[in-house]
Amino acid sequence: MASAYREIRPPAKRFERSCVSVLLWFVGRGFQAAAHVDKHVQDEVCGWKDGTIIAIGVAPCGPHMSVRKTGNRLRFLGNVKAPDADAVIEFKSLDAALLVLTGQIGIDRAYAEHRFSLKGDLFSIGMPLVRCLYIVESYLFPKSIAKKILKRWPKRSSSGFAVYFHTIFGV
Amino acid sequence: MIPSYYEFINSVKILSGKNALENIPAELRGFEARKPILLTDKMLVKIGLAQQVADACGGSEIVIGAMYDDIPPDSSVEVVNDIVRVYRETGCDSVIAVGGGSVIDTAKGVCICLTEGTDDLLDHMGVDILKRRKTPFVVVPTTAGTGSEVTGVAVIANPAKNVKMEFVSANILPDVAVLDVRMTKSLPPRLTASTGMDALVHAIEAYTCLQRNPLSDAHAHAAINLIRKYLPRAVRDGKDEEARLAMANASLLAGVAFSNSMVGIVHAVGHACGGVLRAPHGDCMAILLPYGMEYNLSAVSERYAELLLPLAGPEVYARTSASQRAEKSIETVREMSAEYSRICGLPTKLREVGVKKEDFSAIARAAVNDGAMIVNPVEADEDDVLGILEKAY
Ligand SMILES: [Fe+2]
Repeated sequence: MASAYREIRPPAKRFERSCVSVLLWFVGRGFQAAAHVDKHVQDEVCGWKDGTIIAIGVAPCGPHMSVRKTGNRLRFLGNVKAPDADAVIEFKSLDAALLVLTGQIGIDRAYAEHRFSLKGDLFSIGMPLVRCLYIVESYLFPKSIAKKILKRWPKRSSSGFAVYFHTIFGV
Repeated sequence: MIPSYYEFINSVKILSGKNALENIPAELRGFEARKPILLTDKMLVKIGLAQQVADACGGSEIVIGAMYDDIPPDSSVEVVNDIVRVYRETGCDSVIAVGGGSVIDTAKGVCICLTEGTDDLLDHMGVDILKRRKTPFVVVPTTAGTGSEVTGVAVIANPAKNVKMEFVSANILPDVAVLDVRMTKSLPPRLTASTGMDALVHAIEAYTCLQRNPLSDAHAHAAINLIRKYLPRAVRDGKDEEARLAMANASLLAGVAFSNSMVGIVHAVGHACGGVLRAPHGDCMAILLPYGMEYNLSAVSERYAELLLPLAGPEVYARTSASQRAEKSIETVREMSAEYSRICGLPTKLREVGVKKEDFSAIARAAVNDGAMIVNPVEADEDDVLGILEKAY
């Protein structure tokens, strides 16, 4: 006998998904650009083994993006979750991803609030990655937002213009 | 101030007090387990504590499937894998860990392997990615300091790959923590002081880190109160059972606090000293605490001011003007260290635990990569850590 109850499918949140997708593209390209023009990001990235892949996205099958360290460069691999990533940061919801990607809360706050999981080596990949993201945030967000979410203004060696230029036109 | 969002968990059942050990069989029965593996270390076997736990299970259906005591002071992946092999070989169905931080971390590693069905922990390191533990897991701490019996954190070395593997997840919290004074009574004064100071650092850092919340605050506050009252007694007279039980509780309370709020720069630098030079954790904590507090003072002075009440007691708190309380807290912590240094030789400077100036840069590099740095209220880079090391030297 058929049940009197039927499944309720919560909304797909397509708009939020697209927003997160676009914002992740900016983070990936921005990270690639910052590693290209900023010495401090380069220094952090240099500590990673060649071929190291980092994926950031929304668990379990939301939008993602991946970057790979090649030589002294960081390559944006597109809006994909690289299957062989060495470190994966996954926000627990679209909402959590939007909080961080729109600059409402910082990386440290997001960590404190358990907004994401991290798979991989916290010590050798995770912490340098966090410091890179502080710098990337300081370039990509308007200064008023970045100042609010960063515990301290990071040391930088390039300009917002250079990072934006390479984010949009590639490196 | 209440955080705009926070999470808190402590799912561990706590058995505290007289003959608590004798209730282990009843707890295991609740999980339909009857053949635990007992994990411990050689020292604890030698002084009879491991046997005491086994004896406490007497007169019940419980059989100790194996007593594994080959656990070194630094938990490593080889040992974890070896224990998993013994566990399967002997048909065990649960884990009892009897020991300090390294035994408990090793046991957590064993539980992760058994739950995930893996022998490669490398695939499972990280934050919030572990599955819910399946193996019934009882912990009997033999020091009063680490709080590991209630923390969702384990650190296990992988010497072959040269990786310090970190596991952070509420899913590795034990099922039961057993606090029985028989387990900590024989701890010598020096170790009692140093592990007690570790618990104090857990509470103070938990109270001031970015991840703090009303529940972790309450646990931290209660822990510091107990430490103020009972640590001096436990150090002076190890046979003082009330003081021992209070310190076991203080350590547990501080553990719940920092498992939820995390620790900060004192631990980041202390872990680095331990990693680079094997300097004892509790000693590093006692040495670094006042300097870490000074470093964070500008961001959390109000919080430090509040802590003067549990740290120094109501009289001192009332006597100190509001604007002086934060500094007075740091001073109180300094006096505590100095006091234990007089009573039992607790070190107060890094050079006393074998740290050398030429190690500073390696320590600073390791410290900024410690996960505890993320939630420290003030950002710190290698130069900042060097400044702290210089002062604490
Ligand atoms: Fe500690």
